[in-house]
Parts: sequence; structure tokens; C-alpha cells
Amino acid sequence: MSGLYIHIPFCVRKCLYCDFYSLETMKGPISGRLKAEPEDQNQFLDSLESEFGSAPPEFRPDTVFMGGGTPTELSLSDLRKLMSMIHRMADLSGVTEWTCESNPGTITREKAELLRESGVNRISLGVQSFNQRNLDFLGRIHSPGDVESGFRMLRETGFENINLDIIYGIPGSTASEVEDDIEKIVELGPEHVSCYCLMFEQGTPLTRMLNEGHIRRMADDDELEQYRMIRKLLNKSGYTHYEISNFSVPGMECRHNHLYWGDGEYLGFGPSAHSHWQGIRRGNVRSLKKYINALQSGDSILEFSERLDPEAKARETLVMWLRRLDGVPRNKFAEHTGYDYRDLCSDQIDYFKENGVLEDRDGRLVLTEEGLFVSDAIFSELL
Amino acid sequence: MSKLSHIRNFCIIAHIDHGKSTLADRMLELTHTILERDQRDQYLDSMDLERERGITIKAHPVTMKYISQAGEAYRFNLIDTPGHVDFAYEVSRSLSACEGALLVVDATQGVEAQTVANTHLAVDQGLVIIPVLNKIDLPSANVEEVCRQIEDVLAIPMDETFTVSAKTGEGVGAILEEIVQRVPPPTGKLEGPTRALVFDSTYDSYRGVISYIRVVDGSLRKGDRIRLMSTGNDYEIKEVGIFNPKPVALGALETGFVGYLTGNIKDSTEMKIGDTVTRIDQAAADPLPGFKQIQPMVFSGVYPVNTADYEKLKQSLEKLVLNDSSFHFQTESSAALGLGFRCGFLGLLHMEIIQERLRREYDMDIITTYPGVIYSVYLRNGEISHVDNPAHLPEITRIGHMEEPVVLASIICPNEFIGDVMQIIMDKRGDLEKTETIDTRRVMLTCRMPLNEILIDFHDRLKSATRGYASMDYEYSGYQDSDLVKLDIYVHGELVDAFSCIVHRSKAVERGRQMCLSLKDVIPPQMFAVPIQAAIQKQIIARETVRAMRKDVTSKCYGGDVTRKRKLLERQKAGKKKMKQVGRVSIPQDAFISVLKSSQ
Ligand SMILES: Nc1nc2c(ncn2[C@@H]2O[C@H](COP(=O)(O)OP(=O)(O)O)[C@@H](O)[C@H]2O)c(=O)[nH]1
Ligand code: SF4
Ligand SMILES: [Mg+2]
Repeated sequence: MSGLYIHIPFCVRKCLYCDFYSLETMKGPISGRLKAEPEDQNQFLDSLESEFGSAPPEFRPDTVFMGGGTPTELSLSDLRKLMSMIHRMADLSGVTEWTCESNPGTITREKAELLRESGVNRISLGVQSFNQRNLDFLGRIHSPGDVESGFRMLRETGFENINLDIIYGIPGSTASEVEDDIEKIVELGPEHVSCYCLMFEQGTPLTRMLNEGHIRRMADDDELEQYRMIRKLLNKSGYTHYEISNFSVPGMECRHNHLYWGDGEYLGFGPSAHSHWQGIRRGNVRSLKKYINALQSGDSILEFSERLDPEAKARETLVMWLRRLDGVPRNKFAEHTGYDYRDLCSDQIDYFKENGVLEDRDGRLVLTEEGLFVSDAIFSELL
Repeated sequence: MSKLSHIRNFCIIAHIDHGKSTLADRMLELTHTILERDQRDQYLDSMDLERERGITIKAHPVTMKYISQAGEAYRFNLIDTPGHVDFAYEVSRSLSACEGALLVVDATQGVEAQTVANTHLAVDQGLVIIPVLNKIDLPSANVEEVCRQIEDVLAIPMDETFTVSAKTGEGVGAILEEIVQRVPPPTGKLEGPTRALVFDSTYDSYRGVISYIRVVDGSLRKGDRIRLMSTGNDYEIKEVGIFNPKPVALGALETGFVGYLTGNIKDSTEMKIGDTVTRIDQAAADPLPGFKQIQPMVFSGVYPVNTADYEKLKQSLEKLVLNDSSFHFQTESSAALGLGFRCGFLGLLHMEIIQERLRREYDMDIITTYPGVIYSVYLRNGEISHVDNPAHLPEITRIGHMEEPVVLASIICPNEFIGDVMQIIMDKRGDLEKTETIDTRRVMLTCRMPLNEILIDFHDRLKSATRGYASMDYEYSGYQDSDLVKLDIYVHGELVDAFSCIVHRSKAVERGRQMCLSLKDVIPPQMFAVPIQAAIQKQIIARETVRAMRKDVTSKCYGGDVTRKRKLLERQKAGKKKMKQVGRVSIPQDAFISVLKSSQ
């Protein structure tokens, strides 16, 4: 199993919390964040094509994921160019899942049809909230109404596998607003739901507002309440909580994401895209300019690359696998990494088990519900 | 003219900040001992710490040449002494190297607690006292009133008092003349057996111990074989000299001189303050009176923050002891803090100074435990054990009774604060012995109280209750029977020995509660609720709970950027590694420091 990731570094306007690499296409002195130049899109597509040229010949992905940024922010013609280029450059004969991220404010029926016709069979829609005040707080460009009409349009276009992203833990939001969000989601009935807790990443406007005291973090008790509520409501409506932040109707888990936390192989293309190939992790430069220039001049586009020693790698795998709620099968782990996880950290595991945050279940090591809520604290001990 | 008649040995005593060092500066200038261009304030306070804190820690002798009004040349030896109670023994030795004392009183403040204490010391040593009212340049100077206080409280006639401004120099010349007139020249035998008093010492890595001495009988010269009378150790003198104010080597130190000697003495503990130096070829039969082994009174554990720095800390302490023999240390280990040292100090100020020097001069990151005293523990089997570390307290069933050291404290405060001050004294288990009026506005309260209680926030409380107007001094006053218990702190069921302390039974609950509360505030939420308990013999008397971390989940796996996720987790782990692990609980270093601080 392997995956193909393509990073499209453009957004209409940067959301206030976002630290993914993308340039703003909207004109005007609004956010003070990095703007795209008129010729950027063209040059980007050319560079992407030349990066594709260097992919290993044996690369035959099972999944494709187009993320960003906002892939659907590309114009219809650029999007068409991109799709035909992917077909031209990669062997897609084995692809079973092809996801495109999108934003309720940028997806049009034409673009959706184009994607559908080009082989995309899964759409991930960044909803984040159904509450206008919360959307404004996050600096999203769309309204709650856009989500519902966009979703209906996608269904009409023939998409049978749709993911909705939502964000909880938004300062000032209430548990009942989150309850509303989940109700709306359940009403729409997507196949997959990702729930992320709002993070204050370094260098974002939101973090600056926090540091300057204009806003306050949500108390962790309230965050926890929201998380528990999301879990409860989605479970009740037939969604399985299968990964720390992911829910799906049975059988509709995201295969591509599974490569990320399952130590699978994937190649990423585009600025800031990451790859994991033959034991080496690589990251491309987080700058469209540098990316374009390097590809033109034949320099490296890598910002970093690392190969972990086997034990560190095994620990990393343990931690990433534990993100799955069905846990880490001991045999499979040993087969995959060459280590028995009990040899790596039996003290910690026993201690966590004694305290009810980890448990053994049919030959698997699993986070308990309590463990789920403090998983970072557990993971950091196991690394 | 006898050799001795033109020597004057004197010191300056004062309450802190009354102007002792500034007056010394003016005298150095008037006698041209230092040139004006070399002048800096508080010239004699040469240690960084002394200059910064405005206190004198070491005795600083200096020799000046004074031409009297009658045109005669005198050799003045001024010894600037530390004023703080912690150094009372050093002060008494410095005083005994003199025949006279200038008693400096700030004319805007009046007589303060240390004025009284130091005057008593000087009177005990039989010194002639010349009272000096300082700071008369200030508009708030109240000369008449303060003169009356000196007469009333110290029994020194008003008409003997000199008024000066050490700042402007006004009146300082008259004092120099008065020293010639009133301070008697040294007595002592020029010939025969030699005796010199050691009143302080410093250490120099090239020359070894440099002893500050006052030659009482006979003389000392380079090459003389000498003996220290308390230890019987022999040395050969490498150099003798005087301070001018920098050390200047001389052929000999004659009777009555104040100066230094060196002699390949490796360690300041060999050269004890108060000891008598004699010459082997002119050996004295009896040492000078007053020698005492000084014992540390206040103890605390000192640990490296980073356990790997243990050796470095040890070397730093060894170097410190070389020039401060009154400070003691001994290896100890704590389950919570690892390997460290139990250190003994003369008092709280001494403790702070040593700790600060470790941090600054030796660049050590240290954690210090709750300060304590030495308890006398009378065991049922008739033995007595002296306990300076709560961890070493014998089993309670073996203990008959315990005694703790007490001090006699004098507190001077304005009348309107008497009620508050008495309350503090009572809270601190003190007994009021005497109340005397200083003047119409102030009283002096004398009380007996456990030293243990003074170590902990007494001074701060006194100052804040009196808006800074109270001053305090104390002297050690033996031991008294006391109902003491060992208070232990358990974190998540594990005893944290570094937090154990010995307290009076009546104080245990309050102290326990206070420590639990401050620990609760500084221990970050852990994965599980962490009980913090204070206990006496395992019986819980106070408890708090550090609530469990409720939520610690990061969600996103940034487009396949697993490395970033791993690094975040690694950072989280590294942060925890820097903390002290008590069982499974991670306690930040800061927590130790702030809890130990908050309970001081
Ligand atoms: N105005 C004024 N200030 C003085 C006088 N003598 C000392 N001071 C100041 O009082 C403070 C304490 O003086 P210092 O000599 O260090 O006092 P010590 O602690 O007794 O040695 C310093 O700020 C001096 O500048 C004086 O005669 N007049
Ligand atoms: S749309 Fe997505 S990638 Fe673009 S700024 Fe918002 S959160 Fe970031
Ligand atoms: Mg001074």
C-alpha cells in the first residue's frame, strides 16, 4: 500500500488559526499574510509537473489525496490542467480512494463534476462549524448555508464518500453549539467526520491574539466536555470512532490517512509536502518561490530528511498506531518493526495499564476512553 | 616616646545603613590613605556582594597615618567589622583587637536594635566608645533627640557625642583628633613571649590563607616559626604586612600592630578565628582569652539542580570553605533531590550569602531545602543526639524529650505598632521579657523565642507589620524543652524527604496545610489526580489534591508530517525529564524552590 499526496498552496484568505503552508489569492490589505502573485498558479503547476518527473518508476499509489491549501481554489482550467497532469505523470491503475479537500466557499458544480470525471471519489469539506459567530472567529470565508448547499450539490454530482471537518474548543463556543454542529452533520449524513480541537500554532494571528490577551483559551474541562459530547452523539448516530480525531460509518475509514499513522509509504508533491518512502521521511520547502526556483535550477527542494534508527522508528510507530482506537496488534507490530513493544517500554505500559489509560484487548494494546483524552501525555512517555 | 604611644586601634560599629562604611571612606581620604581619584563609595567593602547589598561581610582592617593637631604622626588601625548578628563572634574578635570604637548613629533614624547590640559587645570588650551622630546634613536629622536616646538607652553622656556628615565630611576631622585624645594606645609587652590574635582570614590560591591579626605581645617577622595555640600546628611565616588599604609587606609586625600574615596555610579551617599565634622561639604560656569554636546554628540541604553537577558543587563548596571557615558542609543524599550537602551556617544572612555566592561566583544552579536548627534529642536510653537534618530524627518511640535553641531578641518599634509586634511574637511562640521606652515614640521589646521560628518569615512579618520601622537583633541563648514533631510531606503516597521539617506541635497543622497548598499550586496537572499529604508519624494532618490533567490530545497529523508530531511529543517528554521524578509524579525544579521559599 502506498499513497500520493499533492499540496496545493493557495487559499482565498488565510484562516486565523491556520499554519498550513498556503498563499492568499484574495486581493486587498486584509490579513497581512503571504499573498499569491498572479503568475504563481501557472508556475506552480509547471513545477509540480517537473517534481513528478523525479518520482520513482515503481511508484503506484493505492490512494491519492489532494490537500492544501484549497485545491478547489484553482480556477476551473487550472484544475483541469492539474487533473490531466496527474493522470499523465502517475500510474493510477491501483487507486481505490482519491480524496480532494475543498472548502464550502470555493467548490462549484463545474469543479465538482470535473473532479468526479477525473476519478476523484471522495471529498473532504472544511465545515469547521455551523455557527456564524464561530466561523467569524476562525476567519473562515464561508457561511453555514454554503455548507448545506455545497453538500447537496456534491451528492447530486455523484459523490458517495464525503468527509466533513469540524473544529471544537473554539474560545467562546458553548457545548450546545457543538451539539448543534453534530446534529446538522448527522442530518446531512456524510460517510466520514474529522473532529479537530482548535490549536494555537506558532506564528498564527490567533496565537498572537492569545498572547496579546485579546482572547482566552477554552478551559480544558470545557474542551473535554465538547470532545466527549461529539464522541457520544456521533457514536449514537452510527459513526465509529476509529482514530483519535476520526469517525466514519462502518467500512468508510479514510485509507490515505491510515498510511500516515500506520507507518505506511507515501510520496508528497508540492511545497511543504511530506513523504515517507523506504524508511526515510522527507519534507519539501515551505515556500512556493523556493520550490519553483529549486526545481528550475535543479537544486534540492527538501527542507529536511531523516532516517530514524530502528528503535526510535519502532517507538514512533507504536505511538502512531495507538492513535487507532482498535489499538496495536502485538504480533503485527513485532512483524512490522522487529520489536516487541513490551521490550521497548514495559514499565510505562504496565504503569499506564494499572492506571486504566491503556489496556490489552485480544492481543492488542489499546487506549481506554480515559486514555484517549490524555493520549499525548501517554505517547510522550512511550517515545 | 614609647613605640606604642602613637598607635590607635579602633573600629566603627553601627546599625546597618547608619553610615559606617561612608565614614570610613572619609577617614581614608582625610589621612590620604587613598587618593581621591581612587575613591569609590564604601571603599572597604570589596566583595561584589558587599557592595551590592551595602553590607559588610568580612572584617576589613586598614592602616592610616594621621598627623595630629600637635603635629605628631600616629598609626591608626581601623577595623571595619560586619554588623550582622550572624557574625557576632567575628565581631567580638574584631572588637577585641581594638581599644576604641566609633559608635555611629544615623541622626534621622535614632538608636536601632543593632546599635544597642553592638554597643553592648563593645562595652563588654572594655572599649572606649566615641558616639558619632551621622547624616546631620539631612533636614530630617534630629540631633538633640537622638543624643538623648544615646544617653538614655546606652548610658553614654550626651556631651560626648560628635555630630558629622560622613557624606560631606563635615565634623570628621574632629573625630580623628578625638581618637588620638580618647582611645588609649595598645598595652602589651614589647619583648618576651609573642601573642597575636587572629580576627579574620581570607584565602588566596597562590598564598594560601591570609590571616588578619593583631599583635598583642612581642612581634612577628618573615621567617619566624609560629604555632597556632588551639591546634598546636606549626608554620613558617612567609610574609607579614599591613593594609594600606592594599596589602603592603613589612619586615615585621610590631607590638600593637594590625596586619596580616601568610605561611603556606592551606585551609582556613586550620586558622580559626579567635585563635592565638605565638612564636616557637618566644612561646607564650597562655593563649589570649575568648577563643571559641564557632558552631553553625542554621542548617539546610544544598543540592545541584542538575544531578550531574554534584562534583562541581562539591568543589565550589570546598573553595568557599577555604575563605570562610565558619561554614560547614557534609555529604547527604535525598531520595527526591539526589546527592547533595547538608550545610551549616552561622545564621540566615550567612546562609543567603553562601547560597548567593554559589550561584554567582561559582555559577551553580542549586536547590536549597527548608532551613532548620540543631535539636538536642534526649533518648530514653540516656544518650543525646544532635539532629540537624529532619531525616535523621530517631524513631519517636526512642525519644524521651527534645530541646530546641532559643534566642534573646530585642525589637525596637514605634509605639503604635506594639500590639501587632506582640501578636507576631506570640505567633512565633515567643515570651516577652521586658519592655523599655527608647523615647516618646519608640519602645524596645525584649523576648525569648525559638530560633526555628525566626528562620521563617519572622523578619518579613515584622517589617511589614511596622511599615519597615521595626529593627531587630538577637543573641543565642541556649536550649529549651520543646514539644517538637517531624512533619512529612507525601506526594502520591511517596515521602518527599526534601520537604520534611521539624516543627512545634502547635504549628504542624498550619505548616502542613501551607506546604500542601503551595505544592498544589506549583505541581502541574499529571495524568492522574495526585494527593499531597502532610503527616506526623504517618498520620495525615492536611491534604490537597493536584487535579488530574483532563485533556491532552492533539488532533491533526499535518498532511503526513509525522516528524513534527513526534518532535512535539519529544519536547513534551524532554520538559518532563527536566523535572524531578517523585515516583511517577514530575515536580518542576521551580516547585521545590518556590515551596521551600514560601515556607521560609
Ligand atoms: N545624606 C547622607 N547620607 C549618608 C551619610 N552617610 C552615609 N550616607 C548614606 O547612607 C547609606 C548607608 O551608608 P553606609 O556607609 O553604606 O552604611 P553602613 O551600612 O553603616 O556601612 C548610603 O546610601 C550612604 O550614601 C551622610 O552623612 N549623609
Ligand atoms: S482553508 Fe484550510 S488551508 Fe486554507 S487557510 Fe483555511 S484552514 Fe488553512
Ligand atoms: Mg557598610
